[in-house]
Amino acid sequence: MSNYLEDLAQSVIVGQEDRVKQLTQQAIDSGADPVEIINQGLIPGMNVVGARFKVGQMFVPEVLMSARAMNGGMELVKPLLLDEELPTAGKVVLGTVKGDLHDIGKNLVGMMLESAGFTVVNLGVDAGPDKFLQAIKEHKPGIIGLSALLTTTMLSMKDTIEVLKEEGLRDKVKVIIGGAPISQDFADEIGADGFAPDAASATDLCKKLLA
Amino acid sequence: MMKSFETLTKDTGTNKIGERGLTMPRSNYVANSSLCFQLFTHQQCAEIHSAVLEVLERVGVNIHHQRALAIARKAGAYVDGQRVRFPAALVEKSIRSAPSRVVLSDRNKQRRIFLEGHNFYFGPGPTAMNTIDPFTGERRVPVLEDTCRASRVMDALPNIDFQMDFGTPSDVDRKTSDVYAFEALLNNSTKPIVHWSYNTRNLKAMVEMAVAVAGSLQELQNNPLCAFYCEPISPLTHEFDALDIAMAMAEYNLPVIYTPAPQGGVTAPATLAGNIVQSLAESLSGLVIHQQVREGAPFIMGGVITIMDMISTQITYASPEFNLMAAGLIRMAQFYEIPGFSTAGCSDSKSVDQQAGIDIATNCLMAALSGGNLIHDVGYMESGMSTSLQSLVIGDEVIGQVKRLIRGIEVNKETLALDAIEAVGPGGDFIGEEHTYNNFKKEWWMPTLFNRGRHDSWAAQGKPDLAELASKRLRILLEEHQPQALNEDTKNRIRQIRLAL
Repeated sequence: MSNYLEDLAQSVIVGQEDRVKQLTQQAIDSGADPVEIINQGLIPGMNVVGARFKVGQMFVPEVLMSARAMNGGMELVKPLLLDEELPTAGKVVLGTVKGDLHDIGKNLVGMMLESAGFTVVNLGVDAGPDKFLQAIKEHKPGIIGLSALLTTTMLSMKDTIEVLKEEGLRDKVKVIIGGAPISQDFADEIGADGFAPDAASATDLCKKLLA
Repeated sequence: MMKSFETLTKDTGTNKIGERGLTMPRSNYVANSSLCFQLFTHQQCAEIHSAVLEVLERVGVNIHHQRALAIARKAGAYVDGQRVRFPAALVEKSIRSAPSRVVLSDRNKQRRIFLEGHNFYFGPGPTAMNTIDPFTGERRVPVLEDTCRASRVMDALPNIDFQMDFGTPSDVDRKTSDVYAFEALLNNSTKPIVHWSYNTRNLKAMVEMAVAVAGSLQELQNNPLCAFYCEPISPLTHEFDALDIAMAMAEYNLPVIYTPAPQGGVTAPATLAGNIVQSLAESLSGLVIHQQVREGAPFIMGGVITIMDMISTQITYASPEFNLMAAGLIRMAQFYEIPGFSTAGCSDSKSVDQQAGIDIATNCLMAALSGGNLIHDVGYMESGMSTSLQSLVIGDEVIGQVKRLIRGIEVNKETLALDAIEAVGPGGDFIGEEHTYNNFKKEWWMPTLFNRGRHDSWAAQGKPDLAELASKRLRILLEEHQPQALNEDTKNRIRQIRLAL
């Protein structure tokens, strides 16, 4: 039985979604413990991916393919678990701010967060304060992430923070911001909880803020 | 059957001159002794063009602009909500109606930049979020005085042909920083300006300023002192402001640069050919709308086509892939006989170091060899996140060297030097010969920055490296160079236009 776990982890590392699903299904069918499948197969595989990415031995598309493979297995195991047994590093709501249609940076952050075990709610582009407000009420995330590419639209990040204050929600959720024109100085200026220059450090930042 | 585009233009007898036409002025051409290279064969261009048409007809683009959607529908495009697909004939009609040349003038209506054929002109980069101070080395957010100073340096550097703002000024109203920067460029240098705008409202103010300088809109159209660029969003999306600006420029009949920035592996295919195809589909779909607004309005086809580094998630401004795709884009612009907007003189390095030198030398030579008309971003550092005046000065030196390389070796009676060889004869010397006197300056490039001296004199100067030499030259330029001032009356008028905004 223990061999399948190693095989499973290895299949996550090389990003073979079909193989991961097949092995997971076999394990479920032969009565393996779902928590064991996750904690000793899928997640250890992804941990290796994370470590290799950090030292430049794996690249973003490979990390995403591994995450997809891991999630393929996760989807099969999930129905067998109680809610409290579901592993999640936390919930993050992401969106590109009002007036801005650039979403690739924010999507990359979302994909990297998911790879690291976060649950991500993606609001898409052109998301004004109301949209974030509604998402906070609906999804109760630990963190909201605001993205902007333009120096004009980045100003609306402050509006969202102000609205959160008015609604008495500011201390219920951490606010992080990012995008090409954004800096730590700007984050401090508008009272955000954090800034990350790229997707990988955004993941570290979220882990830190929710620790 | 795929009919070549160039043949097609000739058969229909439009305004476009065939690729083999030899009457065009060129600084980089096939039929003479100068250096050049062509990334794609004619057949490959035709194949790429066919793929572009297929993308536009099968996939189409999203257009976030109601009026543009109506224009597209009226022109015969297939409009489905925001998705617009284009019949090949409409795209090819737009390529044919766009002029094959655009000329930019300086502030005094002297025609300086001839964007046609294989001519190339270099200039700096815009809108960076940081600038590296050349004297303190500090990386900081640019202020308006940085734009003014950069403009004066561009005015002074002989191989910088046009100006850009070199960083968005942060100490002015953030919603009109484009207008402040444009005013600064008008005030501090006479060189042609390539600029940008947040929206059509700001654009109108800047065109009004340019009209104030030129005397009238007609005089500005006749001798445009500026071009404005705008960017669709990859993949295949035309957002409102970019398209609105392009349409406004068509209405003004002033040159617009439509320039997508697809990132291979992220917002475009990872394969270089696929990335170029997508980029062309983005600019040509913009061109269709632009030409429908005003047929024959001047259009410059851009594209900062690159890849994303898959470890750092930063885009690159200097990789081999970046250089190849820039050359590929320019080859396609030549195929279409539409002036091209290219990129070089930039680096991924964080400081003016060896990597920066290698990056700049490589991409300037590549861009010139490919004959890319309007080449921008000289002085860009760290993937376009900052600018450096030191790097701009080094870029100027590199461009001087590149221009010499492109000239190649002239072969004629005088240069073959048979009489001089006979006059000197075996065992003599050429240093005192009239032939040497007459030709060495004509044929050789003289460095103004690179150090060819002896070790002793270099040591006596304190062993300066290239970055230090650049700072030294920069200090002298800033102290000695006096740009021609804009007359007080015009200066006040453009100030009033900005204040009224």
